[in-house]
Amino acid sequence: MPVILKKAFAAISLLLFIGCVEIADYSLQAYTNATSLKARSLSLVAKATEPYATHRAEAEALLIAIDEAYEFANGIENNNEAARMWEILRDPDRTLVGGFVNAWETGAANGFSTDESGGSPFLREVGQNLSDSFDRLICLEANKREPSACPAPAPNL
Amino acid sequence: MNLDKIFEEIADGIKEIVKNGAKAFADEAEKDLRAFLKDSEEDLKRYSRMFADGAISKFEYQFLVKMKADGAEMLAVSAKGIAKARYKHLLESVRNLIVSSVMAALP
Repeated sequence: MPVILKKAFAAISLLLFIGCVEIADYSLQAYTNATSLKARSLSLVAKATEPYATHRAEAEALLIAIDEAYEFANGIENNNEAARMWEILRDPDRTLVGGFVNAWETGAANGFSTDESGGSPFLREVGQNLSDSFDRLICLEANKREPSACPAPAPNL
Repeated sequence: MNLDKIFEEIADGIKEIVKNGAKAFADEAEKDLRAFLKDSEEDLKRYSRMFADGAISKFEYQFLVKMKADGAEMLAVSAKGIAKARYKHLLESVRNLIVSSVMAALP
């Protein structure tokens, strides 16, 4: 085969291969789901020194919104990683949003304990860890649009 | 139109795109991982101190430790997806290079 044909064949093969990379396109809806549910989750965590019953409606609405975000992500072709991350976030047997709400309801129904200043060291740590996990998902969605560096985990205080 | 010259230019361009794109991603991935490990180590030490001092309960301590494991899984899954996205962008750059090189050489 002449060299020029080999090169043309290589170029065509490359173009075909480009179509085989399996990752979903950027979605503004997916990005917005991650950023808005991060804010709502952190807001709920900050209220968890109070009884769960007081915030039951808000917690349940948040979990439904996270289920919707999971279903949205899972319905997009070639979006396994984002769907898996939403699955971990919502799982009541883990420790992220679903797990935290479950722990509040079943393990600290009267609210998590506070220190002398009225704050909760536990909830500060939970909030920071949740924030880092959401940031990973947000970074994944942002990278679908264009290459961008992920934020470093914020130092806890 | 000199196709040999065009393909040589494309080959050089591809080499440059792959070299720069892959290096940038590998550097960032390593930096992310190191930052996560350092942060996790500091956090786990602090949780132990907080538990020893009575600032958090045993239930809360165990919850925070498990949370770090879930955070590690989130990092790993995210890194896999980001690698795919970066790869896709890299290949798109190669495709654009091929198309623009050929189009520019058209009489």
